Amino acid sequence: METINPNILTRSDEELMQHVAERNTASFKALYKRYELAIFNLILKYTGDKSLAQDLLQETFTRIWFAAHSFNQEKGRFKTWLFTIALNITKSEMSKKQYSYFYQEISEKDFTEAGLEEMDEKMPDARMVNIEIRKHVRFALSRLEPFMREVIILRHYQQLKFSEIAQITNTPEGTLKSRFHRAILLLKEHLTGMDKSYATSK
Amino acid sequence: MQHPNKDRLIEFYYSEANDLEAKRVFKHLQSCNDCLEYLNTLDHITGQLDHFVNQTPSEDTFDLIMKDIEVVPLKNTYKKELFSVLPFIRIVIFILFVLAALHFCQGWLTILPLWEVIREYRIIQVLGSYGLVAVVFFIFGSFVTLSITPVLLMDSERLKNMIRQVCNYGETK
Repeated sequence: METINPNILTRSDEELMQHVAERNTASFKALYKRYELAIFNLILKYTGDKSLAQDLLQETFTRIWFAAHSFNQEKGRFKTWLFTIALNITKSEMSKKQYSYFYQEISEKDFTEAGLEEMDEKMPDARMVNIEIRKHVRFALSRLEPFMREVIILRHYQQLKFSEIAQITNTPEGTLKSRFHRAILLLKEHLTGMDKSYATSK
Repeated sequence: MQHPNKDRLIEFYYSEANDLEAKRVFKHLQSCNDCLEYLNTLDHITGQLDHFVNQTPSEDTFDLIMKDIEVVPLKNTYKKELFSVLPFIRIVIFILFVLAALHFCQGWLTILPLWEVIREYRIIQVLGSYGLVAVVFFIFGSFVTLSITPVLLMDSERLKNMIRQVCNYGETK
């Protein structure tokens, strides 16, 4: 396999895609490295299942490789196209398996992967509180309707503008903002109990 | 006091509002506790969301993708053949099927007592039994096509979006 040439890293996504369409694996790898975290975490936060996120990340990039020739930069940016594909694959998989959100308990492995192991060992309480908050946040996200969860993930976690989300989801911006507002109110409802228990435990 | 709607506040929070709108919201916030409280809530909730930190996929993912790519033959997936006889074969089969159906139906038509009555008409004499069946097929086919076209035009996703917009899913602006 080709190694990544430093020059490749300075190229735009669209330039890299042109090379991918010509079956250039180095450009493909550069694109993968650029977006693996974003796409993996998009799927993870949508599904709540790490192994599923791993599989769907793989499927997304496999599809990008085979559909590279159909990418038209005049129709939109690569990033929007990639997110649309990832989201469609995820939604399709979720509907196939007939589950809305596979909520998993946070394991010790997840806990260490999140970098929390660096927390001061002299503060075990703070460490436990962090695990609790994280659990609650995941649970609160799992309670949201998929169309609300999707807008929270894309706007807050992926830092996409509402105009970009509108392109990805093919939904008017006004509707997205309305969903975002509603999702925030529901999250507030779900997380308020957590705040109270957290305050009493302190 | 005219409050900016929630959309404007959300845009302001994420720095998506234009300069004029941002100045207007900022000025309003200096004298409106309700809107300020909404932004504080937004900030508090998004702060909580940040606890769901990013994770990394396994390191061998790219190698697995490359394996997938090598397994699937390229010519079936991205190179379209310029010429294929398959569509022509399908068209010929379809035409043969229609002709067979015409032949079968006109056979049935000519043994019906009704045929003896209507064959006296000039138009039926011109069309003949084959012509009459073909006209009936055409009218029936047009009727079916026009009936299902709206359904075919609307894929399920677009339909879902329309239903969402119409029902508004209980969302409030």
